[in-house]
Amino acid sequence: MVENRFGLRLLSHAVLWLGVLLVALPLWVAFVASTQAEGDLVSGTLSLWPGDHFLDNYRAVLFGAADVSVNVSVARMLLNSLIMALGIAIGKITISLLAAYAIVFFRFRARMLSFWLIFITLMLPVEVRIMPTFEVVANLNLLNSYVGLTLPLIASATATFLFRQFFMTIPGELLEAARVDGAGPIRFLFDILLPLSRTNLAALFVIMFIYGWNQYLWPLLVTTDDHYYTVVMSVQRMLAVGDADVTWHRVMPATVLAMLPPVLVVVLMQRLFVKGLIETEK
Amino acid sequence: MATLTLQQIRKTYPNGYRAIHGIDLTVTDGEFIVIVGPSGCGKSSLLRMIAGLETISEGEMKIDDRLINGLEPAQRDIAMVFQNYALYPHMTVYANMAYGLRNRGAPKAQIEEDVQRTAKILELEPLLARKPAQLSGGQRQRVAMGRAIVRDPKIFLFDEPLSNLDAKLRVQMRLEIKKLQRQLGTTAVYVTHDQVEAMTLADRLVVMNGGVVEQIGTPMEIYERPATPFVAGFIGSPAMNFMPGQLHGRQLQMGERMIDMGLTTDYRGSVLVGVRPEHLHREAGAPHRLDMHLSMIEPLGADTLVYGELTEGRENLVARINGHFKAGSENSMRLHFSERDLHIYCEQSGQRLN
Repeated sequence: MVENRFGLRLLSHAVLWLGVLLVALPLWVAFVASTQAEGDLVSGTLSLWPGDHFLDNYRAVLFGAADVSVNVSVARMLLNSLIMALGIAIGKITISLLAAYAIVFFRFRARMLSFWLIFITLMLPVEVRIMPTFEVVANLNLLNSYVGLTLPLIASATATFLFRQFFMTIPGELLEAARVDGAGPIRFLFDILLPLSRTNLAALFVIMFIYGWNQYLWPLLVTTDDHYYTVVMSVQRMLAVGDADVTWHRVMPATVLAMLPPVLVVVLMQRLFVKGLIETEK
Repeated sequence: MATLTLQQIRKTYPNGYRAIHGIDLTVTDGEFIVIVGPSGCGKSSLLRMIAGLETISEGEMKIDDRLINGLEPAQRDIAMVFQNYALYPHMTVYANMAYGLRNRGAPKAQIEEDVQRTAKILELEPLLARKPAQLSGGQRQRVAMGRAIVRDPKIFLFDEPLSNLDAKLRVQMRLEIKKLQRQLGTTAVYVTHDQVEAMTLADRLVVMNGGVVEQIGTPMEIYERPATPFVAGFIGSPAMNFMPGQLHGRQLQMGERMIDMGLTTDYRGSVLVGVRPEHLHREAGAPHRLDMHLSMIEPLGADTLVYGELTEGRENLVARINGHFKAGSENSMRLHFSERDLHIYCEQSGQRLN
């Protein structure tokens, strides 16, 4: 039964608005701060309305050096982050799709062993194995390179596991029909499996892109050259100024810019997988 | 246009389970063979071996004169209709039907022509642009048929294709499959557990049980002269009644009754006597009779099924009585039968004796 009393509605709206405020306020403050002139933020009073330095601040960080301590533009950092996030997302999806394909559809010796080997790597987060990984990457001379940034993070038990679960729901008769129709393993993968996995691909892409974008520790370790800095770690670097004043009018625009691409990806991809969910074609 | 030959085909699964114990079968050109049997009798395994989806453990399988044991399904020039249709959900009806041709590398114009022609036969033309999810069960079934027909294969394989349809549609599709197969003249192997489908579709019927072939014959041969008690009990609905008896040369003894069977066998001993429910009559036209206690009556409209027990011997009995049967106050009834309608099997070996 749906209660339709005025008081209750008021209350629930109030709760919802409170929630919205709680989430949105820090974002708003970040945006407001990014539009203030140098020094306004350390003066002690925080205005809740945007200042008039929006264009100046953003133009300065996007195209000039981001900060005295970080000698590269935010545009370049965004590019680095984009390359890293895309590399990780696409790499992870490709690798785990193929791994799951092999595990589910091919009978080979040590099939289950391979699966469990992949599966138990779930137990070890990046941070635990970061030193040996660093060592390997360093020995391969991959420090300060895009390969070094992306490659070690590409292997993914989670995605392999998700693909495996999805592949196992595909009826065996579909595979058999494809075999009778003369589709070999490659054709089956591209003509049937991939189109059917479209929504899974979209969902995983969103998750993996954000995962890649938000990497902090790893880029911090493997990059010493400013030209490979990603935006997320740079923001931290811009804050670590020791005794000097934090240049908030530069940090905040960089932060806001760092948040935009993941938001964009979610907004764009969400449409695709909502569409996929509505078309029930399985 | 093809013949299919199976010689001593056996199947042993990797876990040691022996599904098929040596089957010989020759399917002649254009013949409609139905393989029928209870669940787990190996009929699906056999079909999948013909399709190339299961490996053949032993024996030789040939299409025309070509040995196909080691060939991939696509190389065997067969087409299969699956129980759940197995249509590609993301492809349109057109693409579903064209997929096999495309994989063969047929030219686009040829594909177009073949698909259109097949769609015309199956009245699928208005549906070509749709996806499987937008079709009804019967339509999906038809698309699955279309996908098989369009490739113009040597052999059609059907794996219980009608079991997901409702009763009315099943009858309709059954007729259509039969008509199509006649029209195209393609050799067909059809697996089902439904004996009505088996009887109506088959040119010849293969009755399987426990991985062996119990009998091969035309539907009427199998109905009239079932070779084993299993076939006798499996084909026909309701199932055949069995009673014990003794055979003394040409004389059959059932309880107190002696029936002259006119047999030439010299077998003496215990036998299983079968009689079909529809061969028990209320009218006194047939020479022999038996009495039964009534326990239940099922009116089917055209006929009435009467269940009960044999007065002497307590065996369960079913009779199919013509027309309307009103149970009176009496709880027993007399039934008549002819010795020509009896089926006699050796109790030990199950061999047919008459």
